[in-house]
Amino acid sequence: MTTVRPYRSSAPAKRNDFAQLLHAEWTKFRTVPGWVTGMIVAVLVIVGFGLFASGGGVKASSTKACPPGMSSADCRSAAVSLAPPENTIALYLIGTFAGLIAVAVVATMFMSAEYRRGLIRTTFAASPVRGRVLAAKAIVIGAVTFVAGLVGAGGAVIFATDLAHQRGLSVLSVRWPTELRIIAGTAALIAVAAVFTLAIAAIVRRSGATVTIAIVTIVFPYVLSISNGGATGITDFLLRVTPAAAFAVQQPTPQYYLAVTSPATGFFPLAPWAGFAVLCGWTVLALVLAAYLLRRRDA
Amino acid sequence: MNRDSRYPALPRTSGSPEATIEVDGLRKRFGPTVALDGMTFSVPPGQVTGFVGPNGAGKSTTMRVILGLGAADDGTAVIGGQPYRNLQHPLTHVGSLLDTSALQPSRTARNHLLWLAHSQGLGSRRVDEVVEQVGLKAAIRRRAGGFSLGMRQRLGIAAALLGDPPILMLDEPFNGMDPEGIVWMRGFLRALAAEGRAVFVSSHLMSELQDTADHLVVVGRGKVIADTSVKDFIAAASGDHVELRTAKRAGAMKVLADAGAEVIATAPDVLLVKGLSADRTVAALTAKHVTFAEVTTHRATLEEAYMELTRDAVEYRAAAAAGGTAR
Repeated sequence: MTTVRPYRSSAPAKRNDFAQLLHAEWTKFRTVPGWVTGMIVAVLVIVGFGLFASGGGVKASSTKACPPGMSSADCRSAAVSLAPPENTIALYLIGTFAGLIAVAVVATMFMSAEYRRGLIRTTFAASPVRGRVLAAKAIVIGAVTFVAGLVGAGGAVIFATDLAHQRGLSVLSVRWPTELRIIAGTAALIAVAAVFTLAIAAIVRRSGATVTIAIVTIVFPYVLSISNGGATGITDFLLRVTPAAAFAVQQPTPQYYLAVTSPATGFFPLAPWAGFAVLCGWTVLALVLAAYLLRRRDA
Repeated sequence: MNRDSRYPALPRTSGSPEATIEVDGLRKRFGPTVALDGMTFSVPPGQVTGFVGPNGAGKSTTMRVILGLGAADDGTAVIGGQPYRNLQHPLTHVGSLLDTSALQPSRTARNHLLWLAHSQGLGSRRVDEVVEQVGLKAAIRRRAGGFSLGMRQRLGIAAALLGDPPILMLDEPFNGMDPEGIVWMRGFLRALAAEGRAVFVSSHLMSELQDTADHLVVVGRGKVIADTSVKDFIAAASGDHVELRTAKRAGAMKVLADAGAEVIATAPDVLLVKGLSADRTVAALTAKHVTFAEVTTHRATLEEAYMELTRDAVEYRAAAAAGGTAR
């Protein structure tokens, strides 16, 4: 029998490089048309809601925001007398919650689609250190959704302010650092919420359950507080402890007196960065648990 | 007894640490089910090693453990002496195909290969090379979701080849292939082994490996039943026997038993002789002047040898399934 000459790979021997992992995950993301479309939808939804809010939404929102016990006539007169300062740029970002739903769906799929198809095994065979894969995915989805959030929030504020001026509506002016903080903060809220959702997807490995958890914890408390006409009681509590607390980044300034103190007009129980920190805390927790489970479980 | 004594393990090939898979004493349970029960074998370079056994024998589980995708309760699996987890750019060491349906349906086949290439620090040029190699060039820009099973197999092989690895590990690569595809796959696997690569191919149908594998690792119930060359496997399997027709049954039985054969009377004038070739049977009988009418050799096919060897494992599974439904 002839001696066997073992084959040697022609591939250049290089060390694992985290940048290559990021590159791979970015390629994965951009090559699924549905996910790219989801990001575009998120941007359009945020801008669209903003335009609607600046267009004729003021009256509608103040009517909606009538506290219980106040007659609708009283409420309307109060709204009319206080209409101008109620029109804040936070109102133009009212579509953030709807954009977040699209973002949550895409962030979920970015992870759970791999579990559904068994592709996760291919991924882990290519990159056996699973924590690194989770990190690369988190960075890619965070970066992509941050950009989408920036474009959406920036577009909403710019176009909606423009539209409001055209219609002769006054806009509560905030100083530019505050405006920047609100726009960048909204983008950061969306990005961290996406990473949170991704981590949940790695934990539960089911798309339906993940989207439900993300919406219930991030979007639902916020929507509940708007429809309740203010952050009171249970909604106040929810906006302090759930990931939805991060909506506080949209608070213009605490010292303005607002007729109706609702998250829709920019009033939150927590200060902007405190609220954002609550979401970040949940996200770190979810990431740690996800990394632990990824290591422990069979793929 | 872990291993059938008729099939001694081959000595480990030690001169080629890079291109070997070595599995030693793997054990794994899924709840009450024992999936791996001391699985031990090695895959040498330059050969196609068939990994055969009935469904549920632990083939896929073993492959997952080798790739670090599943953790074994006990035992080790190493690639060129290293656990898979420690490999830098693992796809340049081991190319694997576990599940052909593991694709994102809306991503094009080319983009699937592209992200894999990027994860190993390789570029799109390498993608084009492997696509050419497996004959998928015409369809490569189509969505993978629309691929037939045969095309998915080729795409999976392309992915396994991306890193130009010295070891290839393929789970049921013949599944769903048309006859033309099977012929192509056989030739392809043989060519890869001829280059000095270790090619490890699982199948639940022995016939698929008949003209492909050099070496066989036969498994049942989570452990190795036989670890041998294909030629020895067929020869040693009890299917190989000589049928002897003679009027002098008693005399023939004594003579052949003395010559070391195992003799069974199957009809008043027919004997079944095991462990002695037709030539030697004739020689023994003639030497003792025992007359006979006819001598025929029955050569077992790989499939028959395999069926006999794995019968126990299959029966066990059937019994377990019956017990399960009765409960």
